Order: sequence, then structure tokens, then C-alpha cells
Amino acid sequence: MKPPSRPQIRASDLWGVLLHLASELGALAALVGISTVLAWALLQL
Amino acid sequence: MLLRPHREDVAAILYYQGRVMWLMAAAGLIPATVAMLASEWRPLGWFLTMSGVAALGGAATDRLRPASQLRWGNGMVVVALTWLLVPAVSAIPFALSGHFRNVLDALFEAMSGFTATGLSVMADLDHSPVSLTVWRQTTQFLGGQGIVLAALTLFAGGGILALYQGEGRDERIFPSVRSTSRFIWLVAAWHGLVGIGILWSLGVFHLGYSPGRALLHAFSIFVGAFDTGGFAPMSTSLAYYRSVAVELVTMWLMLAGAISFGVHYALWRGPRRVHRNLETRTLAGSLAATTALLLGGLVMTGAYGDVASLVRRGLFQVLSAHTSTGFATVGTSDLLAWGGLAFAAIATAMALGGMGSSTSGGVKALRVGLTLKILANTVREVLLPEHSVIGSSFYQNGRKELTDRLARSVMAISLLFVALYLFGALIGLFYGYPLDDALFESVSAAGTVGLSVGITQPGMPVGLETTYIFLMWAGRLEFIALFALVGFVVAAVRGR
Repeated sequence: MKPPSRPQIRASDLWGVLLHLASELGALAALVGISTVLAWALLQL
Repeated sequence: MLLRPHREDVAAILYYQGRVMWLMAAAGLIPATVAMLASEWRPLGWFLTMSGVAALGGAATDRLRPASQLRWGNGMVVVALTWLLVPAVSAIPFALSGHFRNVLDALFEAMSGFTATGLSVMADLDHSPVSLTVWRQTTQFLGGQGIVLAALTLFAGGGILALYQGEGRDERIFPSVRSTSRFIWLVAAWHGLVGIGILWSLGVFHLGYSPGRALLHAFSIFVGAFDTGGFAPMSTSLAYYRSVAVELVTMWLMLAGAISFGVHYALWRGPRRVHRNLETRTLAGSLAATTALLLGGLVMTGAYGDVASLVRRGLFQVLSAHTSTGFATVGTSDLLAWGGLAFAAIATAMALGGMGSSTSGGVKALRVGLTLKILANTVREVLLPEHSVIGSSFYQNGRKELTDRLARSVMAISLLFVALYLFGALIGLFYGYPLDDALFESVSAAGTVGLSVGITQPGMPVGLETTYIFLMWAGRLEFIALFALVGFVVAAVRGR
């Protein structure tokens, strides 16, 4: 089958943009959360 | 037997170099426009001079249009030369500005910008003309997004695939190079829209800046973070703002900048098992490990007594180092006072780097993950009975076999990065710097990070400055294009 010649992503794909943003912010939130717990635990030692 | 390159090969290389020069001529109009809007007439002359020189280079090679497609090897030579010529041309405004001690300093700054490193030798940065700041920041954007990729988007034509692969962005997300380029620009555009929007709002409503000043700072932080460059508009980097909100937005942009475009695609289209990829897992693991080391080191030295300060300073710095951005929220003296373990954690994070097919530098997560897998296999070989057959595979957008050929290539590039780090450190030692400082600065340059312990500054020794320029160039090209250039020169001299 011939592959599509144009990307299936468009600038107007707002749902995709929101999903993309949420994923990145989720990763950052996880990093901040884990670091906070780790810092708290290290300070208790 | 080495074959001497044909005249057509040289003509093709010069022709594509000329295309890039036309792009540079156009890029110079960005700061020139800003200079006109800000009534900065002398800087306007600097940018027009640069655009003129670039246009002359472009016009001189226009007639050399090759009849056939560019060969892969020649494409590599174009990439290597592009990263030498483009910084040289874009250094013209820096050299004319008076903010640099000499031409070498101007070239250093331009190379640092185009390789998205962020080390700076600029004097009196805080009183720089607005248009010069915009140009300094734009170099990171052009370099980060790929000057070659930009040339592809604008001058797409025959033989573009060879150029594209040399860029290091060899991830085929879409069926054509052109559509992949469009997607890469689209990701940058919407991150820019949201990122600059939030930072501008913070500047106006939170920091009390005028709308124009807020826009300059928002643009500067966005390109510095998303293109993992690290140039900041103020000499104290991100510490200037003293704002948790600005730091959090910057952390998001740095993280986004260190993610490969394949993962960006997957995140946009919906989670597609990217969490299973060896690259994602290695990056998550090395980020967690270096953060733990850094926090442990900071607790040991007692640098910060509360959780909030520890996380705010520590996490930002380790993320800045790991994504190879180079923004700092602590001064050089504070960084030096952080102690051995925290210092080593940052140096390690810088050496490892982010994902491939992103703007970050360093060895890169997939190579690190594969290197660890290869080492584990080697240990298994020793432990298992003789003649045991060991098969190995890894998950990266599907299950793939770890062949001997792939293993050799991964180990070679990883070792070359280590050799480059050590070479830079040796030169630093030669100039009398202590080992830890020399190694830190060398890793920062070769990993295109930009964090500094103070070795890089106006007035640094010429030999060391030249070495760092080489480190940034070689680290950005990941050696392959560099070898192609050396091979081309050797073949031209000794070939038949």
C-alpha cells in the first residue's frame, strides 16, 4: 500500500496539542513529585 | 585506494553551502527588522553587513546547481562545513558590536549559539542592544532546529535526504523528509506559541515588565530552553528573575526540547508505548539517578536546609544539565560550593544528554541504554558456559535485534564522546586548571550544555578557547559528519 504523502497531523489538531502538553506536564509533575519526596527523605536522615 | 573527489562533488558541496548562505542572508533580516523598530541604527549596519556577505556567498554558488542528487557522503561534508561557515558569518555582527574582545571571541559566541551550547564570552551582556540580543538568541533557534533542516524546508529539492541524515535527525516519522521537516517546525511553533505566551504573561503581570521587554525575555527564554541552547538575555541567567513560575515553565520547555521528535509525534497522536522504549526508560532512569545523587550531595554539604530550596535549585540545575540546556539559577561560586557529589552529578548529567533526534547534546539516552545492554551481555558471556549462544534485543518503537554491527557503532560513538571530554579536560589541565573544573567545562562544551565553572570568560587563553570551539563543533556533529569532512580533505590531497 502506498504510504500517505502528507502528515496526518495538522496545526488545527487541538486535541492532539492538549494531549501532547498534558503528557509533558505530567512528566514534569512526576519529576518534581519524586524529587520532593526524595529531598524530604534525605533531610530526615 | 582513495578516490579523489570529482569537480562535480566539489561543485555540489559548494552549491548546497550557497543555499544555506541564502538562508543566513534572510535570517539576518530578523535582527535587522528589530534594529529598525528599536531605532538601533549602528546595529542595523552590522546585520546588513552580515546579510550582504551571506548573499554574496549564495550568489557566487548559484550557477553550480548539480545535475544529479547529492551523495550521502557529500551531504555529510555539507553538514560539517555548514557548522563552520554559518557561525563564521553570523559572528560578523558580534565582531562589529564591540561586546567582544576580538574576532575569536565573536566566533566562539556564534559557535556556542549555533551548536545550542550556551557558553558565553560576551562582555557587558546586560547592556547589549536589543537587536543583538535577538540575534544571539536566534542563532540557537536556527542551530537547534537545524540550519540544514531549515534549508530543506525552504529550498527543498533533489538530494535532500543525504543532508537530512547528516543532521542526526534520522528518525523517519513521516514518509517524506519534507513532511517530517514540517512536523518538526509545527512542534516548535506550538511550543513557542504556548511557551512565549505564558512567559510573556508572567513578565507583564508577575514581574511587572513592559509588554515589549516581557516579549524580549519570553522569546529569549523560549529559544534558550526549547532549543536547549542556554543563552539568557541577562548575565545572571535564569537567577535574574527570582521566580518559581518562570523556572517551572522553563523546566517544561527544557524537557520538551530534550525529547525526540518521534516521541513528540507519539505524544501528539496519543500515548503509543513510548514508555516502553529503551531510550525513554534510560532517560528516566539517568534523570532519577543524577537527581538523587545531586540532592544527596546537597544534603551532605548542607547547602540548603529545606525541601523547597533543595528541589527548586537542585532539580532545575540537574534538568538544565541533563537536557544540555545550560540555564543556571545559581551563580558560579554557589555551584563550586555545592561539593564533589553534587558537582559530579551535574557533570554526569551533562555527559549523558537527552534523546536523539532532539536538540540536546551529549552521548544521548539510546546510546547510553544500548551501551549498558552491551556491557551486561559481555558479563553474561563470561558467566555462561562456553559456546552458549547469547541473543539480545531491545524495544525502541518495536522489538529490535541488537546486532554486532549496531553494538560496534554505538560503542564507537560513546567512546569517542568520552575521548572528546577527556581531550578537553587535558587541555584545561595544560592551562593550569584543576582536574574537576577542567573536566566539567570540557563536558559542558562537548556535550553542548553551557554550564560553566568560570573557565569560559572574556580573556580566556586562545588555545583553550579554540579547543572549546572544536569541542562544541565535534560534539554537535556527533563525529560522523566530521569524519566525512576529514575523509574528503584527505581524498582530495592524497587520492588518485
